[in-house]
Amino acid sequence: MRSVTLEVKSVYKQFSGVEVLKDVNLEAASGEVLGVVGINGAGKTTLMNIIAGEVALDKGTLLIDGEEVTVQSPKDAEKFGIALIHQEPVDFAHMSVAENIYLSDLPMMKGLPFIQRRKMEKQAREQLQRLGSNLNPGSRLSELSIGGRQQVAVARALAQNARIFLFDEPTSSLSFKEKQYLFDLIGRLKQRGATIIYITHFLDEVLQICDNVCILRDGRVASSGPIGKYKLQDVIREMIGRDLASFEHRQPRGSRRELLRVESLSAGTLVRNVSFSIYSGEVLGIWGLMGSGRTELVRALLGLYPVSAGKLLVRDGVSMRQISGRQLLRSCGYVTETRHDDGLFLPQAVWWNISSAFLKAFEKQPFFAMDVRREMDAGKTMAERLQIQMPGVTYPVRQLSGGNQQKVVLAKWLLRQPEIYFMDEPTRGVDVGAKREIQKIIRDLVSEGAGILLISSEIEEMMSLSDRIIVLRGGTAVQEVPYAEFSKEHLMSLGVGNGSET
Amino acid sequence: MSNGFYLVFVILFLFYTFSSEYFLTVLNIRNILSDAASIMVICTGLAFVIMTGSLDLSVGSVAFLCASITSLLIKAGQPVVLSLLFGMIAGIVVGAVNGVLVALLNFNPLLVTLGMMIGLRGVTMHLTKGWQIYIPTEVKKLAIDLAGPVQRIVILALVVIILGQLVLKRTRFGRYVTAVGCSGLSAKRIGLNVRAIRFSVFVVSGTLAALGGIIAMMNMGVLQPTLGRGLEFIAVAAIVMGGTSLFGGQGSMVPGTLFGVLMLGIIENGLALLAVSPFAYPLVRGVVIFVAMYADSLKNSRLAIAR
Repeated sequence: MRSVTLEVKSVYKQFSGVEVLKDVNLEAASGEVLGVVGINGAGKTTLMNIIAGEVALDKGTLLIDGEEVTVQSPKDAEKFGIALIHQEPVDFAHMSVAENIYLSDLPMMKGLPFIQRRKMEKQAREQLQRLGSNLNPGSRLSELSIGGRQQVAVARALAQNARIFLFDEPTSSLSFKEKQYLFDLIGRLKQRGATIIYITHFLDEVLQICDNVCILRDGRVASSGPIGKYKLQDVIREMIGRDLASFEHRQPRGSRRELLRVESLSAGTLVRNVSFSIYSGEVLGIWGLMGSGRTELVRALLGLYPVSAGKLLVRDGVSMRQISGRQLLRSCGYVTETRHDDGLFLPQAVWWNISSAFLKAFEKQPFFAMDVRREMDAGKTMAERLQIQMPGVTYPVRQLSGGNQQKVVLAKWLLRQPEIYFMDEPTRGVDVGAKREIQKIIRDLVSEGAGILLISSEIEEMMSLSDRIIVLRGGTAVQEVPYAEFSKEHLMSLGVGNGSET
Repeated sequence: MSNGFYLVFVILFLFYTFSSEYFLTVLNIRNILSDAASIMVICTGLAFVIMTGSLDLSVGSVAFLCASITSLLIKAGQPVVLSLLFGMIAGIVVGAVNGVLVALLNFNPLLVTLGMMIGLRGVTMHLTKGWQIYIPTEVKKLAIDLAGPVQRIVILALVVIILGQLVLKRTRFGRYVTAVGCSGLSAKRIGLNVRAIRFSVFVVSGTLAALGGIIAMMNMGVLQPTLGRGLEFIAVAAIVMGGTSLFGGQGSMVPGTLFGVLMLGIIENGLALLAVSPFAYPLVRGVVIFVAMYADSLKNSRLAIAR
């Protein structure tokens, strides 16, 4: 007997006149995983926030076990057994695992204001083991990886007797192994009869672990039903309303020029004697597994990581000239892996961010004054070109969705019009629609003659965007793979290393 | 700038106007402004440091040091301009030392500037032997002569704070300062020299603290051994009340800091007019700051819920 625990009926929500959810209906049953997918702006996060009590709905009803409920705060949600597991779990980094799990319900000694530490740790260990986790309840949270912190968040929810779990993009920062742990954990929750709602961008995961799927588009449910009904193409089509075409590799205009030459670069243990060149009009993919040194390589190139040996040369007219990493940083475009930490000035306006890497261009002589009007115009033009969706250029960047934030990062570098770009996971944490747009921007840039070094963990993206790929393993450049030889198996095996190099 | 703050400002102003017949007179307003001139200048410099997310607690002692150097030199018969120059140079040097320690050697700014605050006061006391130092009336008149409706130092202070605002909001340097305060990491990734920016704001702070101290000394016509004592906290309070975040990256000098300074000046002035016991001054200051900040936080929390 399928028992529906959570029902959402005709929910409507608007923010400052923008309709985010228009008449959304869904239902989730115990012992099942419901996947919720949709591009950014489709309303998934808002829907989850409404269910979890962080945002109030304007119209519509929520029913739990058939009875109408009002969830107006996270405390209400907790009362009804709803737990929201955030993408980057919010927790107390300096406290222990056990303390984090039992913080709202610490076991106290009778009559005394002291915590029963041993009992708490024992209970925590039991909870964790039931989840299949072998975390030490005494470890400090800051020592754990994101996967570990997720486990703690789930354990805490269980300690508060949650029955409905909402996972918001849980796998964006997880390694392969941690992903498996997570799926295992979800499986165990299923067995215990929990109701699970799973939001993700990674459609293959939806096909892998979800029993049902609900596809949101433009604030409405475009389609929903058991997962068996859908193929990957179908889901994509429902999400964006049309089929995706793949990229053609066009020939770049003009002749091929060497833009950057890296000779024998070494830095720490993760970059060992790496040499390569970047040419105009091409995307050079750097592929490797986590820990192979890709990000470190780029950081070392740009002088952000101490270099122990090696030379950098850039094109200067007809010949190559040696430069330092810092000089390269000032003249190139560098899209980082972690836009939240180091790619954006979150409280500042969109236009402020867009012009921030090229302020010299907007200086009005004679008094070193900035020409704010021109900056805002430039920001608006860029935003249109990249199709950034936002209330306006004067709004703080932190109000934008992930995909649009990433576009602001790109806009910032595009304004500099550099010849060379370094892009580290440019479509991470970005919805399918914006991902597509960003990929197109990348291809457009190379067709205009730029040279782009691309790092991406998504092998399909690597293969579809790159003109050639260099595989890194343990800090060394193992092999260069030309376009004609691209294949998932080949790249994977080079990355893992089992003697298939030529 | 928050509405809560403006509201308290207006209420206070009206309260004093009705409580004392001397409050809304030209002479009194001039006094408020000339007394505020010194701290206005100091706050401008300090605001730059706070905008980068750092802190400079030594400003009171730098003001004292530089005012002492200047007054000692004047008393010794040196030309005024030279005395002023040396006083300013001392401020620049101290600022540079702070800058090196905090920005280049990565010492904790709180500890460095706190130590500087305590140490400099000791050094200066040694220089002045704890005496009051009177300066000749002609020199004092240089500062407090009227230039139009208000004294020269008031004009100077207003020029400084307006200039500070323009530099902060309208020049590349000001943008860099805001960027560093907003996100040091992001600033680094764009290729900004974060250390240089952090260093330079300390130099600005030291220089303006020197100027502020000299202004305070000339306003009174005498160097008091208590000059600048506790000033840093008033300065920080004025800046924060004016809407600048202690985390950096947010805030303005005009109208923000300007009104913060004026508010505190008016409180003090009104209390004096009402013949309130001087021991109550800090208490009243504290209460008003508390009320203004509370009103501000109410507004912020309402915004948060609406989102």
